[in-house]
Amino acid sequence: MLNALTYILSGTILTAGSLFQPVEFSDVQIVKYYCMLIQSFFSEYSWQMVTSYNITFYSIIALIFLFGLFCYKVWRQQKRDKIEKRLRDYYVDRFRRILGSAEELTRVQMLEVLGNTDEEVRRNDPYYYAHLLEQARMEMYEIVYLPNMQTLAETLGVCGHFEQMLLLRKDVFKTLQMMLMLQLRVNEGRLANYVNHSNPQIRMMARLNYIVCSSNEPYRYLVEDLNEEQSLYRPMILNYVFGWMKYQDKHMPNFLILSEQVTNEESAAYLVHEVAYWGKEDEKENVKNYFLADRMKIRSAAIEVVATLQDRSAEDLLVQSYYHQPEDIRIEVLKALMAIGSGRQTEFFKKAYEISSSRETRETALRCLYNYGNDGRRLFEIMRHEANDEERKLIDQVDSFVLLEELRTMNF
Amino acid sequence: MWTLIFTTYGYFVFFYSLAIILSYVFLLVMAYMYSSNYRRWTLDYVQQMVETSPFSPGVSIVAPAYNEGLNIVENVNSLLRQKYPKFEVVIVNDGSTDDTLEKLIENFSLIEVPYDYIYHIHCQRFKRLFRSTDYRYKNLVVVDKVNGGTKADAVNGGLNVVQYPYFINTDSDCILARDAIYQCIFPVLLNHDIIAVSGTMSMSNGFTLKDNEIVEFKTSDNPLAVFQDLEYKRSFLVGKMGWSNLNAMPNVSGGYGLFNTQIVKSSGGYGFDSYAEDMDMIYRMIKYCCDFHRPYRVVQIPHTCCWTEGPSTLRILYRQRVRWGRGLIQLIHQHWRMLFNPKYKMLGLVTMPYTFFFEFMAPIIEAIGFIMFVYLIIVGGVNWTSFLIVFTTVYIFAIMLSQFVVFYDYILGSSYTKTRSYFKLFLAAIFEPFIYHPIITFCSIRGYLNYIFKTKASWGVMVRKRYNTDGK
Repeated sequence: MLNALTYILSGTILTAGSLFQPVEFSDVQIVKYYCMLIQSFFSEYSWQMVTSYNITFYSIIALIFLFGLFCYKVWRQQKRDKIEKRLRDYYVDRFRRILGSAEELTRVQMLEVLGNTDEEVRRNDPYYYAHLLEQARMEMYEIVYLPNMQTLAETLGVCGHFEQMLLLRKDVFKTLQMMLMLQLRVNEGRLANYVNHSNPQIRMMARLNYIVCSSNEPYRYLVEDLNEEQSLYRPMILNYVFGWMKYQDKHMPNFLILSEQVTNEESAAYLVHEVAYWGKEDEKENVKNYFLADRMKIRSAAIEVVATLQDRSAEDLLVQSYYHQPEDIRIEVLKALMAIGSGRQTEFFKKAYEISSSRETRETALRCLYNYGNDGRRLFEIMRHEANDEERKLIDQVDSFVLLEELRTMNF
Repeated sequence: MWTLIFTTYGYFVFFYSLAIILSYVFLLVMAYMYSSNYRRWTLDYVQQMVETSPFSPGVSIVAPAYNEGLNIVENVNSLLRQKYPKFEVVIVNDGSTDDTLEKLIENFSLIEVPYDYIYHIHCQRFKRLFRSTDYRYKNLVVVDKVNGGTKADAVNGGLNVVQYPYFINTDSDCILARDAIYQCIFPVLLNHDIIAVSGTMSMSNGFTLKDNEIVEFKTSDNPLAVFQDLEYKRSFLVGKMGWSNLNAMPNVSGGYGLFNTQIVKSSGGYGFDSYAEDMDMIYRMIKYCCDFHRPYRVVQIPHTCCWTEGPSTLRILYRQRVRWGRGLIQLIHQHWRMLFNPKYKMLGLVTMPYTFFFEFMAPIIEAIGFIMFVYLIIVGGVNWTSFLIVFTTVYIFAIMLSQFVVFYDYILGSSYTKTRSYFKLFLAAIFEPFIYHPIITFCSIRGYLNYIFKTKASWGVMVRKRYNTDGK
């Protein structure tokens, strides 16, 4: 059996107990020697001691490794920060000018604004440009569509960089996120590997990008995705994507027809909801037929749509449907009627207050009445006058909250 | 006979230590996997989306205040500066005897408004509700109630008035990051089953505040605060993050956590008599979900959302930790039926056994071990070589763990303005096992004894220091 001490030869670097006499080593022998040396420590002791010793040894190795890694990370971060700062100082204002422009600029015009030639631009790593574009986009997040983003990203080589990342399967998830948020289109073939990826997060992000990039069938995966949807994230980001599609005059899906196809109730309700923001005129008209839909969340969504659109033509249907709704949807109906604000429903609000068993519905009815113009306020005061002590508590609460709101607006 | 007892105990402690070391290594790996997955998301984009989306859920921040007059104005301002499109701040004045309420009224233009208060969940008597007449503070609600003796009672008082589907439970002495709500709501947006999200907390001792916002992040000069900072980081970045990966989170800190309002109310709200109300709440929420077959997840996020002022004197630290110890034994006592109960999934099979054996039992085992060790020294029965090896093992592992935490904190987005702040943490890691850890062990045992002998408990007064607002 190989023994650590057999590596110590007399007359070489080290002998046992001496630091000044050499040991002859070659190739992997030195590694072997130290492994044996380490193993030989405490080998005479019980296994508990050997275990403890090993834990100590590996902890020290981990300690040294972590410290080294820490120093390296600090150094690398400082280096990156330095480069990014230099580029930021030069480019960010120029990016803002280009992205803030309402008219579409050509590549040449962009290079003029940047004050660089093509070669000069390409000298820097597109990784940094992507980050700077990201920062500029964040500052302009309230603008749904930036017409010059695509050309600028192409000029800076960012699109090519992203395509390369997708091709090489490097940082795929981050790249897909960046593409989506920077509103960049890449060759849809680059997404082919990811639209059916086994990782659900990558798959989701790739399919969202697919809506943007595909000229063939952008909504191909929408029903399938929404059927399995269990979160708020996708509806929220889809709302953002649809907005962008609308601004580019791209074809929008038919939300109501899609909602019929989707079995997941929350997703179906979401699609109905989208009619308020990105729906076509005929969809806005048809949404009234959903006030008494079989699925409750769809009813609620349809009512919110007419409230958002302040569609007066839906008012009678809303009132008729009120008596067939469960309590939580009745609240939505009352809010919708207030949002429409035709001034014709004061008595209806009063009745809703009187017949409802739910405190929340009664509070909503009172709030709607209070905010429903002069007639509503007058009726509210009459009701206050006639109310008993218990009812007056709620009436006073509604009164004070609304008054407070008015007071704040005056002070503002 | 005695030799047998000592030998058996020695073996037991050895295996116990080994199990703790292995559990930490396992948690390190789990935490790393979890945070790697989490860090793939670019949260700036999420912020942008939440800011503009009509589907963003509203969030209420509930912060009880008891005699917080010294810093209450700065703290409420920090809560109101949240960057989130739909939120409210509910401050519960829990019968303060100082000028907390007067300061709030004066500084935030509050007026008393009639309010039909409904006791959805139990709390001490509601007195008044205040709202601001100033547009800038339109999101502020102040509830004035009779003191209930515990934080739990005060939070319940606030929960009865919240209007949003999610709420954040924090302390009024906490300073929140401006994007704290975003950070915590993000996992909920991704997964509908999430019922609670724990944000990472850090110590604010030593920070500099300007316009109610922290402008300089650095470690405190007070060693106690540095020890606590290290302890917090270890607990959040390794412990909780690791458990989070397994859906076995034992706790969402009372200092900062986001909860599903409906689930909390359905679970009966916070246990008003609990001394570990945060842990108790999570146990009861999970119990409710398991009893009613509702899917659930409790997660930890790797971002620092909240800074809290830790006890800066031994006396206050002692009181706090005795209360925590008391809370832990109370929790075990109240929920012992969940221990090893498969009905409660990971909580019953993993979290609770772990909490019982490695958190509750640890101070007891350490104390017994210490007494035995002293006895063995006196009678000359210590094998010093073995002792040194085992001691070095535990000590070096503890330092390695702390260093991992420091490294981890850095790569997750440093908690400090300057990298040199980490060196104080390195130093703390070296001295912690000799100075801080024995104190904490002693406090825990004292807490257990107080609970067993039913000593009257009180919250005591947390002596606050004013924040450094001029950078000096």
